[in-house]
Amino acid sequence: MRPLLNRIEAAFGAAVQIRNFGRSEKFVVEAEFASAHEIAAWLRMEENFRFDFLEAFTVYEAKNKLVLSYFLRSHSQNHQLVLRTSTPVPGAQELASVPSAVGIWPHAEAFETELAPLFGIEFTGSRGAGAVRKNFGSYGGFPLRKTFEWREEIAP
Amino acid sequence: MIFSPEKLHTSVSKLSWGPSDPTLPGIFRIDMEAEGDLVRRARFETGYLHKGLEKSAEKRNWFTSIVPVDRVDSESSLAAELAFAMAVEEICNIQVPRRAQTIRLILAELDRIGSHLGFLARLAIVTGFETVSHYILRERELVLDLLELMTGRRFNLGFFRLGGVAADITEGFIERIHETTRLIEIRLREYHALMIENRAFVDRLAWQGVISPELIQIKAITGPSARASGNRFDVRKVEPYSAYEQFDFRVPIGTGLRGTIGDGFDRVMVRLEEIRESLLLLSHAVDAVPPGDFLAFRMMPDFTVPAGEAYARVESPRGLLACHVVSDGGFHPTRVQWRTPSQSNIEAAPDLLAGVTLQDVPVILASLDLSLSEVDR
Repeated sequence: MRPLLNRIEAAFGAAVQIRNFGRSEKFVVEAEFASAHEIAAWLRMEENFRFDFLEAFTVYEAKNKLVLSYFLRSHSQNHQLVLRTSTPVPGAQELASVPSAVGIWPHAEAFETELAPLFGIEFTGSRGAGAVRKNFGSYGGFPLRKTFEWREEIAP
Repeated sequence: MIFSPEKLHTSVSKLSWGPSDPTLPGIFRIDMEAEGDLVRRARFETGYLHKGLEKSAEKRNWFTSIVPVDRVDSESSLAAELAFAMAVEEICNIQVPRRAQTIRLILAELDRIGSHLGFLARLAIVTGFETVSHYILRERELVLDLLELMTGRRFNLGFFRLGGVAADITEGFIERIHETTRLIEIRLREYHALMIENRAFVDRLAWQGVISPELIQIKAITGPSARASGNRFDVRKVEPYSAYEQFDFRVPIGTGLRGTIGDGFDRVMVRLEEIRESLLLLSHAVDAVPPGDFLAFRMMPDFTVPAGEAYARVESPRGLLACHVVSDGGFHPTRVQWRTPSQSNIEAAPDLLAGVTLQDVPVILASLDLSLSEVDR
């Protein structure tokens, strides 16, 4: 897999960095936020990769950044890869703006509709509410952000 | 059966089911547009029982973090326990003893049988086969008895630990496994006669709620519901974990036996076949438990996990279940995020309901084996 990943570096140069994912033998492609959407579309279509299955889309907050990870699998090429990018955490009541991946992997909608209200992310370019909506009520903030303050009525 | 709407001469009406309705597989709402008794369009709304498990995981220390993991899906809690344990073990570089890995496999397969029997019982109720559902629940009790014998609990087992399992195999457990697998194998033939060979049951499921290969791709459907449509993806085969590579087992797929490939009936058949495979796997695994420790180390309350991350995936009874764990080196997880099969599989449901009659809605939903606990985790 590693030699194949050189194609990503050749195509996107300094916009990507490739390293091992944790202790595993799998790889993570860390992409600049501005290029991440273009790289995602390229990984979906490029004939050596064909990442057709978005297995999971996760978000976590670390060092005042929202870290977005796309866990990709190619059924035809039998590859796995993590595509990662990050964006600064906006103010407590402000939304982070992230391009939606629904146009690349339609299934991203399941993850985006859930993560949007919990992390305060606006996924731009999405088709809007799909056939399965989330009704989490109102937390008066974004509960999965580290700055979220627990109040008595929503204390764990 | 699908009727032609032109012959019904009815106007479009709007219906709202749920969020609490005994015919639905969980707490959620369906808003439907129907023409006569034909569903034109369906939209789902979930989130009514969101448990906040991912947030509460950040508030717990590593020692107690296994507790909310069980609640991802109480009916088949061991899959989530296993994924979480595997992820943290990878970050900590913990080697799980082979004996513990085999015990985990045995319990995971018992969990799968129990979950599939629960599925069959629920499906029997919505198709009007209530007596059969009681027979099936009788066998599921045997599985729960075995889990209780081993773990002390019947649901929310909390039995897997970092580095292994909480206790060694209980006295008499292996004999009881052999006895129970033999009995369930016999009873499966009984279900076959009562349900699979019964035209009244077949007619409710054959040709209904057909999942096409395109829908699997678009909605990322996994597990028995995808395998019923011919997709062979099974994490236990593709990326074996926890001693699965040591045992030979078959991955059943849909054949369109009574209707077409990927219909509700195929989803039943695939789960019945998976129970058979799990019974065989169990009977082989309990005779091949290697000697050694059942736990690599005993975790203390002040346990910390080094900074790092891992992503572990398992084949839960409902499909691909994965867990992304991030640690900053402190006493609490930075993030525990789940990818659950029902979260994806429910996305396909509104598409499957378009064009069916209202009476078939609960049957199609039951045939998908959705766990709203996984969706609203």
